[in-house]
Amino acid sequence: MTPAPSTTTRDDIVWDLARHAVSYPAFDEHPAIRTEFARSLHKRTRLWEPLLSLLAAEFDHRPTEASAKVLSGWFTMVHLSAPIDQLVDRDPMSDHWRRLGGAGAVQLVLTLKDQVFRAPLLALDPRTDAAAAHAVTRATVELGSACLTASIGEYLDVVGYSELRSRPPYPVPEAARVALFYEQLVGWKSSVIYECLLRCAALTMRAPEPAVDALAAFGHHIGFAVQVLDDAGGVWGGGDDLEKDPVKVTSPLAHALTTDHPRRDELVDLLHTPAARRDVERVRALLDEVQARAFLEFLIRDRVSLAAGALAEALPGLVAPLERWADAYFRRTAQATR
Amino acid sequence: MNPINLVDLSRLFTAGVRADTARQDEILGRADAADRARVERVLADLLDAPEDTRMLRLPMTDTDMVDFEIEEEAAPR
Repeated sequence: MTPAPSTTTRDDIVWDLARHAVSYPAFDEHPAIRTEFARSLHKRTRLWEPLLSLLAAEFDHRPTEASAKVLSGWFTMVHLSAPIDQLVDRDPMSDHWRRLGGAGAVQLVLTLKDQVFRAPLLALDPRTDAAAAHAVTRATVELGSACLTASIGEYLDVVGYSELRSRPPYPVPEAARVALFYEQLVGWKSSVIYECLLRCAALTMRAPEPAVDALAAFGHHIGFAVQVLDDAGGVWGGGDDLEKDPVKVTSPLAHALTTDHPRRDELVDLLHTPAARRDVERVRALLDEVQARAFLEFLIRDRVSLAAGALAEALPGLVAPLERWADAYFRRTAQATR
Repeated sequence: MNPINLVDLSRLFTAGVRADTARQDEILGRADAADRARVERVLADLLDAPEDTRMLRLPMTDTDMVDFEIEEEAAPR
């Protein structure tokens, strides 16, 4: 792994996004949730702050209260999807959220979202020039727009189009239809969300328009790759994607169900077995037989390659550093956590 | 925004593992030259690695996705 060149980072850039992201008044009455939120947020911000610092150096931007509020607002919004997803999926929630009850949790999420959207403009220094104020406003609107698009994706997810609902034998063309829908869904959710982060960063840093579009495309592809990583976590990590009824067709199952292989019928039968009796270890073994984890690595490398390609024309100087960032991010080397 | 869809990438990967070049050509026949060159390079680089080292790296508990601390989900498999 080649270390990132020190010339592309600046020591005077401090984001402190996890602190900003829990600074909203609605957290005041929920200190335990604020603490839990900050700890979880920090896992994410420490991965992304190095990239944001690279961009700040490229566009000669020094973080302001307003630009930090736009970007930290993105992290807060993304994290707020967790309790809602958990309510919808009836997944385990942390004790602090569970104690609020369903209505209480929704109320807190809505109050926080309202405060997130107000915060960047409230944080603008009155002496700020019009162009900087316009940039922060545009970025805030982009954040709202992306959240709406992601909400549509979440609705389609809740409706269940990507679930394995039919009975065996579940022919390959039917699996392919669901797999392609899942790919679209990721495009509307994770890809849009990460496209938004990079677009918001570029706008608040007042990057030239072609650079804004290039970074948005970079974020779109990286967002897809992040979702692939999460899909892997749902099967081989701490997730429970194989223990639900009905099973959702995420990328590892999309691969195993749309390819002809000798154990496909057995896999289909297993996935249609009620979760309480499903042999999850056998499902994982069958996924390993078709090298599903290697396929996911292929998907991630393909998307990182597309992401780097999106930068080539407008930001050629950022291709190498951002490829190194992505490599570190997806390989989980120490470099990603600086 | 991906010029080659998920299902075709899955079939392409399987054809690559099986060294079925005719099938690879068939799948990539619809892709433009730049996309074809890119995806062929990515796949070839991956398949050059031994089978037990080409898979996505774990642990997966530290993904970027939201991770509130829920005890029963904490232990990696």
